[in-house]
Amino acid sequence: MLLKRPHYQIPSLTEAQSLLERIKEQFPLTELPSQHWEYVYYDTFDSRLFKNQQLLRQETRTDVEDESWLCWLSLTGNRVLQRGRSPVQESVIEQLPSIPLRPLLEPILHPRSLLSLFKISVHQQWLVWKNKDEKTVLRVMLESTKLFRENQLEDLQNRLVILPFRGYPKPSQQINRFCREEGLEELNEDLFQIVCGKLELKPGSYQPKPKLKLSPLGRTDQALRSILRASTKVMDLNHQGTIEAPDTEFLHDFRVACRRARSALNQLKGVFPPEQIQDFRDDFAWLSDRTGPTRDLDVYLLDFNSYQAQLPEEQQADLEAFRELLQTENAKEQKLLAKDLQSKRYQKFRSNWEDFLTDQTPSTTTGGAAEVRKTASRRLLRSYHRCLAEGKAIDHDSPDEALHDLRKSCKKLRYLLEFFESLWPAKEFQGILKPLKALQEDLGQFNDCSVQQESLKNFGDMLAKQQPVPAQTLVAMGMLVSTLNQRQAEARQRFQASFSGFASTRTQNRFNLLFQQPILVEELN
Amino acid sequence: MQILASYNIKGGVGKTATSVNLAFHSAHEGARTLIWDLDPQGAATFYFRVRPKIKGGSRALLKGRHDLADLIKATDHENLDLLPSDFSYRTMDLLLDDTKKPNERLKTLLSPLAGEYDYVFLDCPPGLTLLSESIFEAANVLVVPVIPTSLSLRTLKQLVEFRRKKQLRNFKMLVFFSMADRRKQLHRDLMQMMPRKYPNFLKTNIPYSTEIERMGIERAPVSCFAENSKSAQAYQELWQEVKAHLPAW
Repeated sequence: MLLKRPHYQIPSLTEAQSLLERIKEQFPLTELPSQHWEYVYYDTFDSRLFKNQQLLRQETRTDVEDESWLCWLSLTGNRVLQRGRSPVQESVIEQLPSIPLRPLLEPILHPRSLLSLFKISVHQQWLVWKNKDEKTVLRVMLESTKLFRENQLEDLQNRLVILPFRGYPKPSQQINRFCREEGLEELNEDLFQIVCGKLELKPGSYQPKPKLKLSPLGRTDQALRSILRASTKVMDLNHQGTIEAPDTEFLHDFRVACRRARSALNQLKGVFPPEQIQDFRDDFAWLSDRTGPTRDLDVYLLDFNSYQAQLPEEQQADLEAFRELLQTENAKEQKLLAKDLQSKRYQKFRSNWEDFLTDQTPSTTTGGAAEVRKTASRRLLRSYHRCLAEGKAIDHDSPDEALHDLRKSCKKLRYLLEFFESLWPAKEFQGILKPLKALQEDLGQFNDCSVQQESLKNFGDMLAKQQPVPAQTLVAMGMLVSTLNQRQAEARQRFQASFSGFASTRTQNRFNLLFQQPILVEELN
Repeated sequence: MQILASYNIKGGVGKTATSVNLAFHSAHEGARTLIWDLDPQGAATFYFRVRPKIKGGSRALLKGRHDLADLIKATDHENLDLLPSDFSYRTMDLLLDDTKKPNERLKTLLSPLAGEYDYVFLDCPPGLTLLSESIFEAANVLVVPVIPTSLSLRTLKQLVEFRRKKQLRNFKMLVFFSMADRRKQLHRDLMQMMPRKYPNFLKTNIPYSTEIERMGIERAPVSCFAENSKSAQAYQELWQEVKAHLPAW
């Protein structure tokens, strides 16, 4: 049972000092040497710890040498989940690979890295109450905190914290009564929340796939601009991270946002005059092309351990030369990508694109003026029927390309469904999304295996050109190709089953009913 | 909640020093830790400056008249609480004999604390009694300090035999050398020989040291007054080694 630790706000440091004197006069408390600390808070870009109701804080004493702790806390800061000594000079980001907390944090963080959120300076004055046996029965702490902001220290708060001891209730009752009589106000907000409020940080608010709220009767051009603006926001949020690459997920989210914008532009043809958007379509194609190689290598490296695990134990080490090659190539591609994302071409694209997105002028095309729900229904039906036709044409003898094409068509359908989700009741949507997701899963696996086999062969050729050639590595890679081939065949075998769910009369009826005769959300409610 | 009993049939082998110091390191890392001083001598209670008394004594405790939670006292160390000893614990065996299913009694008493603590350390009295059997039933791990002497090893053999005969398989047994004096030939010899015979010997040894003896004067775990001493480091290492045998919390 964690005892409540009441904390009271004290308006100024002067008042805090005189309060401490009064407390010392009334109660048998003795003062301990004061302590100075600096706290740095960490989380991932997508607030994984915060979403888990947790915080990570490095606490470093600044008044004594060589004392630094890494504390993994509950969000309220009331409970230390675990802590361990940490090297003073290093930031948590540098030392994460070696800290004792790593095995516990890794499952939450992977594959994201930690970023520092903010730093505060903490001054603590401690008072202790001991009984006749010299046993501590209560602690009182006066804590003054300041926030580091743009190289300056900004006052945060002064607070008196009462730390009661279990089994010794009387001292804390007496001190709390005294505080209330002094007219002190009990604080409910934690330090983390206070600083987030001050810095206008909204942890947990980042959404890589933002939920759109479109108006069913609105114009299609307005809806398309909203869709594009949402994707662009995600691109912007990840732009710097994609350049600096502290982890792989900035690029992933940046790339997905580009792809969604590109898909929206391509699929909703006729909403804007072609000459108005042609340059943008080219720019998105360029971005897709530029982000591809790094992402592919990232995926390889992220999955590397699982590849290794597929080989017999004695051959696992043979793949290391391959890992080194991937790392070298990845570093090269990342450099090129960072250059592209800071290039004049990107800046020009981004500025023209911004003008287009913020332009309120209605589109001159009939497609642009059409009611968005009607456009969406038509597009969704057409896209679904296309997937049906492509899937039905696939049999045992069909080439792999047929499955790749179907995968792309399904992806387009999925994007359309996500763009226009808000125009229909959520429940209805679930019924059609589920069989689509199952089909995409199998097609995705089929495609991944095929792409990976292809690149393994290419990498094998690259390695073979290097001197000296580690022969065992090539053998191990060959074994990997055959494992992937096997998995690809399994995914293909599952295809008929997952496609039959997607093409069932029930799913077809659902699509037709939902999109042929548009139902208003209000009507169903 | 993992229950670790610091146990040996023999007395004076460093059981209390083990439970107090391991519990301290566990709490220091942030784990919610409780130490239950089951020894009527109350040494662990003394080390934490708590009065060795519980309301109603053993009888009220075993009858379940008080919630165990109401008897707990915070120590001076963050995250570390203590269930104090009481002189009446000396008759615990007789009282246990009077209860139904005496072997399960301790386990039942501790079960309501499962959500409150990550680790519970039981500081056990010596002997192989009814209370010991109740401890075996409750514990997930028996941490067994052994002095590298013939007598101490003889009692270890007795414990191993007892465990085998009674088919007690619900706890792990982690044995380590305590009060080891490398200056003594016999200690050195036994420390080399025994781990070969009993493979579950831990790698960490706790050296014989004056710092550990000073715990009674300082009334605190070793790390609190001799942080950089060999003994403090040895207990820290021992905790890491013991922890590796437990599920992550």
